This record gives sequence, C-alpha cells and structure tokens, in this order.
Amino acid sequence: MREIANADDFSVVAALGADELPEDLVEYSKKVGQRPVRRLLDRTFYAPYVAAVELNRRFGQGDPERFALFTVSSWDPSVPVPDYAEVESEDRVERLSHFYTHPANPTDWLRRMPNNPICNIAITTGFRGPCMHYIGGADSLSMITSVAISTIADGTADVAMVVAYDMPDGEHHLLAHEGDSSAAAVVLAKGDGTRKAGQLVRSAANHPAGTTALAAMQDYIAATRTALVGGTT
Amino acid sequence: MSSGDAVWVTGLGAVTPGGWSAEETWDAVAAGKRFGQYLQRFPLFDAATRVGAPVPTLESAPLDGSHAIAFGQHAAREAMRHAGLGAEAGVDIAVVATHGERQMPGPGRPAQLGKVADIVGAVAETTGARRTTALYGACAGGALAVGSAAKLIRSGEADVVIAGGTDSLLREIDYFSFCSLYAMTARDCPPEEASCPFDANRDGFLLAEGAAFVVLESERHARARGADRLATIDGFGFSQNAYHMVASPPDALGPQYAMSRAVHDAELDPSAIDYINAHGTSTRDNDWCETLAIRQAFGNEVAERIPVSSVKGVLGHSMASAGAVETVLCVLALRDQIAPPTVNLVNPDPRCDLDYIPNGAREMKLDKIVNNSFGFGGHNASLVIGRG
Repeated sequence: MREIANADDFSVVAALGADELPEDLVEYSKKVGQRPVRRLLDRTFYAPYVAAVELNRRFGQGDPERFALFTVSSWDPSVPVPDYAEVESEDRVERLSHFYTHPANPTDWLRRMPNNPICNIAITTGFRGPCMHYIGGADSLSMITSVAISTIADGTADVAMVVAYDMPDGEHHLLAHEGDSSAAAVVLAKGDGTRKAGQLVRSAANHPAGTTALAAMQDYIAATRTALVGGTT
Repeated sequence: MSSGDAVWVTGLGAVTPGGWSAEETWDAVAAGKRFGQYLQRFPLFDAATRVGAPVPTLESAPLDGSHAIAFGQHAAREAMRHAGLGAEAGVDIAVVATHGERQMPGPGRPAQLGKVADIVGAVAETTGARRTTALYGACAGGALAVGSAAKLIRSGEADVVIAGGTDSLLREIDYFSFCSLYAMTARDCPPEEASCPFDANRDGFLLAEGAAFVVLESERHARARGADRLATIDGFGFSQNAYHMVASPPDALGPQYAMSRAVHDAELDPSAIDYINAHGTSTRDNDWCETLAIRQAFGNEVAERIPVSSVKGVLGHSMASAGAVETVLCVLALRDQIAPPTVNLVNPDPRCDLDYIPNGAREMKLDKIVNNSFGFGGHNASLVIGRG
C-alpha cells in the first residue's frame, strides 16, 4: 500500500455550499436524474444528490472512471412503522410480517439505505472511482477527507468529491417532502492551491463533539470563500 | 511497497455461525462445515425463504438487546486481547461497518433496536477508541472498513486502528425485506445445502449474522511494542459500479477495477496472487459477474491458475461484517497455508468456470491473497493481504 503524502499538497479546487443549492431540489432532480434514480430519491431526500450533480456540472472536469466519490452523514436507516404496530392484538405480528414481506413497493426498503445517495450520484455522473460512505459527525468528515486525499495520492483517482449532508433525525420515518435536508460538497485535487485540503481535515477534526459533518464542511467553505477569485467554485 | 512502513495485522476477533471466536470460525470453515438451518427464531408466516445461519446458542431465541452490539463487543475484545492491547491504552480510531439493527415494533417496543451510533459507541467503549466512525457500504462494508483503516494509518492519522463490522439482520424486518427483494435463497433443499456459491442451482444468499474485527498497526508502532505480525495489508482497491442499486453490472467493470486497483496498490503483478477469497454470495448474478471480473482483472491465463473460493457456503452472508470475517479467515489461511473450500458446489455453472476449490480445503503455498467484497449500492472492495 502506497504512502500518503502531506494533505497540504492537495487543494480544494471547487466547492458548493449549502447556501448555493438550487432552490427547488425536486425540480432540479427531475431535470438531471433518470427515472429510476428519481424514484429512489424520495426517501433519501434530494440535497446530497443535487449538491454532487450540480458541483460536478460546474467543475466539469475529470475522467469519470478516475473520479472518486465520498459521502458522510449522520443518517440512521429509518423504518416505516404502521399505526397498528402500537396496539396489542392477536394478529399484530402476522400483520406486521406481511407488511414487511409484501410492502406496497418492494424497492421501498432500498430507498432507506444510507448509501442510496452515493449510488444514485454515481449512476447519474458515471463516477466509477473509489467510493465510500461514512456515518458520523465532523470528525468522520475529517477522516473521510483523509481517505479521499489518499486515493489521489496513490494514483487511483485524479480528483475526489466529498459530500456532507444532514437528514432529519429521530424515530419517525419521513418522505422527502415531509422534512428538510441540506448538503455541501467539495472537489479535491493534487496541487498547491489557495485552499489547502489539509485545512479541511484539520478544521473538521477540531470541531467540538456533536458538530455535524455538514456544519463542519459549511464552516470550511464559508471561511475560505474569499480565497478564490470569482466566488466559491 | 514504495515507501513508508507497512500496515500490520496484529489482532483478530470474530463471532460467526461457526463459533464465538476467530479460531473456532476458521476450524469450521477449513473443515467445510455448513451452518444453514431452518430459522426458528421468529414466525415466518408466508415468507418465501425459510432458512438462515444464526450464531450458536441464539438459534431459537434472540437476545433481548442488540445482537450487533453483543457480537461487536465480543469480537472487538477478542481482537484487542489477541493484539496484546488493553482498552485502557486504547486504539486511535475504530472504524465500524454496520447497518444498525431493527426489531419487530410493538407497544413500548421501538423498531430501532441498535442505532448505528449506539453500535459504534459500544465498540469504541470496549476498545478505548479515541476517534470513531461508522462505515455504511452494505455487504462490502467490512472490507471497506479494513481498507479505510489501512489508509488512515498510511496517511498518518493513526498508529493503531480497530476495523471491521458487526451486523444482525436475522431479525424480522430485515429478513422480510430481503424476502421482498427475492435476494435470499428459497429453493427446496436441505438447509445446509441452501448456500451454494458458483453452483448452477444457486438462487440467493443465506442470511447470517456476526461480527469480526482486526487490529491494524503501523509497522513502526507494532515493532516498538514488540507485537506479532500476523499478516500485512498490502493493497486496497475500491470502486463504484455506477449501474444499479442492487443488480450486478453486466460488464463487471466495478469489481474488476477494485481488484486491479488493489493489486496495483500492492505494487504486485497479478500473477503474484496465490488465492482469491471471493465475495461469492450464491446469488444468480454476483457469482458469474465476479467470475467475469476476475478474468478481466487478471487476464484469462492467470485467472485460470488462481484458486478461488467462497466461505459463504459454510457461514452464509453476514452482510456488513462479512468482509471483515473473511479478512480474519484470510489471515488464518496465510498462517496455516490452507485455502478454504467452496462447499455445496456440486453442479458447475458453465458461466462460473474457474478453480473454486470444490472438494475440501487445499494445502498450498499462500503469500498473497485477494479478498473481495461487493455490496448493494454498487460498492466494490478488494484487499491484498500478505503473509508479511
């Protein structure tokens, strides 16, 4: 396994903050996503998908075969629970078993997988480079950014995108239109640019416990926004 | 290896249908035992699939609490003990692959039995980990966790990382959900024959449960404390299919890339690989796709010389922990110089035409092993594990 060089030898070459997401995420997804992709997004929310696809559109470089993709969120897989589950009755377990064995839509379960966005981003963009999803907070963003840098350092990828996103938390199972989600994304590449990738690794690690990955990435993007002439990208 | 020190494996731990330790599991796998059985743990009603591979002592009644937490803590503790590390000293990072754990909901009984954060937190507490992250890579999760940990060591983020996976989807909601996808075996046969990787009659995977962890260390750190080198992580390759949420890609490019990148990362010629531990799930699509990917990654001539086997005929498929379980088994295969068999391979599939070690374990020279794991969501991960 090859040595990973200094993270400061790598730069953030493009970024899309949560405040730059298109206003209508559903409409945007309809325009860019194939139908099977859109069908799978209604449980996972649109923000990470839109952030990645839009940043790729703006960045517009890179061989998809050598484009790495990393996502990080605090998402726990949620489960739909019908109301009758809460009521003790003789046939409760049998009804629930039938409910889960024969769902109204057999792909419903797939839609709730936390790696759903990464898969559907890749289907839309054609990215077939290294790919991984972490679940955690700001420190997970720091670690996955290190792993992303390593894929460029070892020559597997030319560029790597890291997407951080938030999902509604809690026991309740939600559809996309029932709650908000947000996302931000950066593209990393080799080079001694103005915005050091190492700075993202360090700043994310230094956030207090409980800070989300998205908040840490958004802080980084906001703090370095003026470093590039002409805006954030 | 171009520069820097190597990544050593210094500790192993596992809980599987084969037993509550890495050694018990290895003995069962090398002997070609089979753990598929009719599932007694909960009523199956009209589910098409009737079989599973539970962990011993929990065949007919599950624990009250989370299996993923219990298995994860047990396997992590074993790995730490094996490495000669105590929780008080702790590891730098814990990378834990898991899907979380759910139970049949009821009055005062939430569906979420083990949240991802709870499972990771339990492993972190057991190992004294100072930093943690969960990894969600579906069935490739365990291998992605190990590869990810090796990269964190090589990038200077850590000296000691515990990495692996823990999962128990042998609970009603996930079992029935897999049924709804027709992903699990439903064929009419004795349960111990249900998982038959690369066989013409395969029709789906055998759902199992379990956990496995490895302790990885920088060579410098391991040498300084006099730790034993069990094996080395020499290469890691991973990729995305960019094709479909669950279906295998017909061009097999994703898994091909993962293997090629791992061998390249290890700076090896493909002909240096002695054995491939296949993902080999016993699903219709995975096994021929993996066969094609091996041919494309290694070239036909080399591919036909490398023995390939899947341990899922023995253990079933324990999802997020599978890649970590198989990493543990690869390390023990290197130690004993034995390649484990593919059991239940009776009727060869013309599309699966490699040497799958069908008739019992094979004693052979093993220096470099490729360990494959592929997952829903299009994830592919391959590790090159060396004798060191």
